[in-house]
Amino acid sequence: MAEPIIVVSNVEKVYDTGAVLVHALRGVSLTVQAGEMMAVMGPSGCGKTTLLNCMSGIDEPTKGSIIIEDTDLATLDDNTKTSYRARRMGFIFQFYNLLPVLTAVENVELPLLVSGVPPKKARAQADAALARVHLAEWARHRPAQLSGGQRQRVTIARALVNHPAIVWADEPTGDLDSATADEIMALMQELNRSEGLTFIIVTHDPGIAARCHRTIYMQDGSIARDVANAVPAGSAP
Amino acid sequence: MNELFGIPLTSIMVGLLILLAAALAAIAAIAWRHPLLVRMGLRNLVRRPAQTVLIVVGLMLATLIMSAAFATGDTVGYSVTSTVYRSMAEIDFILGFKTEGTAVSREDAYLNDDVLASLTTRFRDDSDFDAFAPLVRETLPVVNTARRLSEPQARMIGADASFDRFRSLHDPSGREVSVSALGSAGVYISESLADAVDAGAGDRVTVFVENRPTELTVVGVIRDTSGFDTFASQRPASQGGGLVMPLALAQQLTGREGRYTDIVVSSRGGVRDALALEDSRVEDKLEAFIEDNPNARVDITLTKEARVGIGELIGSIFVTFFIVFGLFSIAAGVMLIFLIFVMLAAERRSEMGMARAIGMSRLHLTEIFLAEGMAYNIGSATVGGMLGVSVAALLVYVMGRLFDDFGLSIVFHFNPHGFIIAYSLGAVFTFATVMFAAYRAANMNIVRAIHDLPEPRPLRAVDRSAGTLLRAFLAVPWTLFWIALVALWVVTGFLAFVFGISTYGAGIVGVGLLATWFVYGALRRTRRLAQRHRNAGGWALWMLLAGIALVWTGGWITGWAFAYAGGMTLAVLAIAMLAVYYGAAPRAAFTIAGFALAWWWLLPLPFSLFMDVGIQFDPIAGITRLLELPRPDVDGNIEMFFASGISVTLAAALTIIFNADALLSVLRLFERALGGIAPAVRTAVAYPLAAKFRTGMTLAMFGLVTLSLVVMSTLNSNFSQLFAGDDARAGFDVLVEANPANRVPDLRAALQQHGYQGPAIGGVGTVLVAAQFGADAREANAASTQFRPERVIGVDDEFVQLARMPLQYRARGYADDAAVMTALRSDPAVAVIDAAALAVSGGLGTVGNGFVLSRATSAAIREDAFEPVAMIVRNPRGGQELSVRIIGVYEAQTTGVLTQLAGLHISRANVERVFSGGDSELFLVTTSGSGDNLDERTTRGIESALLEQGVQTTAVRKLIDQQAQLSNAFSYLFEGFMGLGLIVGIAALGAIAFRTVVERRQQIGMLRAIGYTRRLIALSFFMESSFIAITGVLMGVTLGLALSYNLLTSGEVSEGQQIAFSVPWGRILLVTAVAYSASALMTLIPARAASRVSVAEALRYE
Repeated sequence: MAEPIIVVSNVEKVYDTGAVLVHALRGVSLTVQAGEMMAVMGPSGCGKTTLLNCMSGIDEPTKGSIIIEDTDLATLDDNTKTSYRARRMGFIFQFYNLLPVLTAVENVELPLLVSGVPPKKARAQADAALARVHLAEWARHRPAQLSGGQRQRVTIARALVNHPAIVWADEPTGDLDSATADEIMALMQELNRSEGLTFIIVTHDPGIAARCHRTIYMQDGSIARDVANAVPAGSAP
Repeated sequence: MNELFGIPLTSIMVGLLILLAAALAAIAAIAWRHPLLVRMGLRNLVRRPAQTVLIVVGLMLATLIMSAAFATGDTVGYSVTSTVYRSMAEIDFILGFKTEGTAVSREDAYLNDDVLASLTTRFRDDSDFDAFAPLVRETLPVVNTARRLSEPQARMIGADASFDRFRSLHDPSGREVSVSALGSAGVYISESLADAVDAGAGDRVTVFVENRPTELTVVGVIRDTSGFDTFASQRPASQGGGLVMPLALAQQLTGREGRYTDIVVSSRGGVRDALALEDSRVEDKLEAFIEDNPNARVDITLTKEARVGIGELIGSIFVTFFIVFGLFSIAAGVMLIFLIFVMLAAERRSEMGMARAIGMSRLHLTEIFLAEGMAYNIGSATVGGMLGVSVAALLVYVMGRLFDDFGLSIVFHFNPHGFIIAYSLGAVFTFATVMFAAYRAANMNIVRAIHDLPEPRPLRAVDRSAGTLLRAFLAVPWTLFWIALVALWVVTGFLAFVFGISTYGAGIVGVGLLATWFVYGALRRTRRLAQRHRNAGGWALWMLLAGIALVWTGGWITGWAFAYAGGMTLAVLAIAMLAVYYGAAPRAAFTIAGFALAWWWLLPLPFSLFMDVGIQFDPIAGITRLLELPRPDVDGNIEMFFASGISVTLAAALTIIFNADALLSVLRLFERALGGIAPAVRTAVAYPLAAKFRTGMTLAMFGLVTLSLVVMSTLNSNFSQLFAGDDARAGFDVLVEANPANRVPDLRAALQQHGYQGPAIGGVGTVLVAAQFGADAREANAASTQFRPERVIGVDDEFVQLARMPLQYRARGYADDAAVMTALRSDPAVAVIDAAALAVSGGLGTVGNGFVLSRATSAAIREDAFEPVAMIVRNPRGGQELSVRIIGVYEAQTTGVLTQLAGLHISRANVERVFSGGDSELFLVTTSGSGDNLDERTTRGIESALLEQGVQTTAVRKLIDQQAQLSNAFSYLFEGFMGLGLIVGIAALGAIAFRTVVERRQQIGMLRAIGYTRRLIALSFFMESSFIAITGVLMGVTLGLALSYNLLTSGEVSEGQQIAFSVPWGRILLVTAVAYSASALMTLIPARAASRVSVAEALRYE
């Protein structure tokens, strides 16, 4: 049995909009095993993205604790947290969030450069990461010259390039047609299987969720259901 | 100040107000038709307050500069005219002795008593005249023997009780004083004379006339402006001051009983509202009197109207100067306005796309921008106008201190005309720029805008057939038609008002409407073309045609260099655009165009093809000469400085921006060394390079302002060096000016006689001046036989031997400067003249009616070795003539400081012969011996020994230092004013930095998510601004130095003088440091804001 990599205990998140207090998360607790591929589903505004942001350390919970790889995120200062993200986490966003002024390979190598990897080595790793997502020949193109699917694959390459322990994906297929979404999901499954990466995927698509080992359903800031998928189409942890 | 560029200020003001009203009416019409659009525009103002503040700062710059220029010029004009009014009081005309064609010596140049009698008799019953009064004036040494203090050249006015009616004399508290109170031997002394000799009421002072002392009692102290500078011929009042004594006493002292030097005339009215200021009939009556009485030998020597006119002219020269020097900043300001609105459009691209999708037309979008722009505009023009007045107050304060030494007190004066002109001009300028930017912004593809996708490359054509290009070419007139129509109506309305042809206004409107109707009808068909076939190729073709037309007009018809050079620039850019249109790589096309323009504007040709045909800079001229076609003949003025600055900046910005990836590659080489900040450098450089237009504009703004400051600093510093260097001493240490009323024919003898006790004197060069009552000169072989006044100077052997006055040009047959000077000593038929006598190329014309060599002669002299120029010198009093040949031209640096030596140098014997012994002596002394301050001690020794002769002594070094100090002070003043433009560049960087934080919010979130620390984000933003600022500043410094070098060594500015070009690194470093630090400071806030973006919120934000 794999070790737990993420332990979330009684996490609450309250937004103060000035007029009202919005309870985005209401005492969420969960554990994710290393190498697990978990989907987070639920209606809009249920707190999926907030949970992902809190777990990945780019937002802070109002209450509760989040322990990643045995480290309580609350004990880390901003710089340490940032550095940890650069080394151990990868991010995939719905709208790709690539820098339009950089080429694909330059986008991919950024996390390495901020981690202090020498430029030459960073470029070699970035090229390798792009090759893994089948984009070697598009490495010198800018995002505007790529299709939606290609851009998302660049994002995946960027998420993988520093060999992270966890990849956070927020609606990774939300902006793609079904065929491309399928292709991207297959790629993530393959990476999960071959490299044992932990994936946390926020999605609206039950088809995507069905391809993960486990799905949690959220409602009004709480976990309504936590379901292990019987036959995930892909690998097992 | 009532006029600018010859147009009455009121007309300019009303004309601009009409334009402003038209702009406001356009906004009112929009508000009436579509109030929602105006509301949408106005709501944008409060969306981002910090950005709004920056926009207002950016927009106000043009108004600020113009407002400051007007307020400064107005103050100077007002101050000068106030001094005239104060000193002339009720004096409207001064009549003096008519020297022209009169064979009398200076001593005899007095008016007879019967002239006054005839005048008063003739105009006794004429109500246009108020009063006449006789005066005697001379320059005398005044000594306070009790304190052993003296003023060698005080101005003396002798007046009787009739002078009281002119209300010219005031005590220091401003109370009028009367000549009658002087008794028979009392005097009033002016404040500065009182200071100089330390005397007051009750003290006794001694005056010397023809070396005879007379002791007088001081009755009281009066203001320096009490008429003394009205009669000033050489020195300002505050330096010497003067004294007023009873007329009879003055006549007795000068030995001219019953005779006068001047008669002052007052016309009906007061000091400022005298009839003579508004109506020339008083002057006509006096002219008639002069004509009717030829034997009276009287002439009008001065009118209040002329002096007030000079004051007004000085004011308008200041306005023109400040506006011309501010042009770079104004240009940068206009670019900033454009940039701001381009960025606003980019920020709202998706919103605009959405608005278009739901049914808004392009016009609607333009109207929203116009409403928003006008709101910024009105506020910023007001702030700019008021700040301009404050800047002017500061400039006036500095100038006040400078002018104080010249006896001119500067009083801040605010004329609403200037303020309204600056306000309206700023507002109209901004309106026009916003209109253009808005029109450009509204031209977008809806789908691309909604998805925020980049627009296709605007320059490259998909279909490159000739038909497409022709259709695009024909589509342009539709747009041009509207621009031309608006411009035509505006200009017609403006001219109709200015030139008072409003009587024909109805006719003009009728014809205009008819013309519009016909043109509209003809162009209506092109409307569809305009909408479907707009592309850059069409515009490029029009640009090319316009460029060729301008080159032709400027080179072969009007001779206007601005049109010729501007046309050339336009044509080169058009060719580059067409090349890209037909598939050439933009980098190659614009790099070649950029280099070609920089080369054409800046550099001498590196190969000799065109040099061989005598053309240094211009290939067109070279080609036409080779093909034996008529060559272009162009002439430019100060506007070419502005044009070259703008053009080289544009050329360099194009070259840099299209080749900036090379910079990135260079930085890549250092990435390893950069360590942890390498990613920040990567993003800092990548963004500016990706936004070529925005970065190019900012680079150009920074570059332009830096260039103007560097050129100004370098020119000032090199000229200061030239005029303040040791060469400016002309080889002498002390300048001694003898008093015409107490001649000193031989300085050495006089010093020996009066017991000189100073340091040993080395040499004494004597110069005899024949200019007190004027000398005339003309070229013997010129078409015009008219004589013009020239300062003629007789130099003795010792002067020629001692003088170190380098020659700029020598006549043929004289191997070196020494040969020319030897000839000047030995040959009485030769002469040497100063460089100011050469006609200036460039059409600035001559100031005043002094002698200047003809253009042809000047051009011939400027060749390697010229044929001696035959001249005729004439004594206007006796008509005696002398023929001489000019064999050399002095460099300007000596006569620029020792202005007493400027003029035509001939032998002393000739001056004595032709000019009846000359009018006064100048001695140029060299010191010998050792010790500190030798020149100062010699100066004091000579002045003390010749106290009673009233000689004026000055250490030449001190004169040079004063000149340098003054010139530096003015340089700093102008540089400070031009430095205002830096605010534009800084505001631009700030605006861009603020904008980028908003624009890249989500990207910042992503960068933070993948591991950029706050510090790295802030650093990236900071470096991005620094990259632009440093590149812009370096570009400006390089171009500025290159331009300065060319200007200083081309001969156009330096007049062929050997200027050892030096770079004022200190000043340039200061400029660059200030520019960079201020821009860095400005971007700290947005950089900090960027680093504080909340990651989770930024990523959620869409």
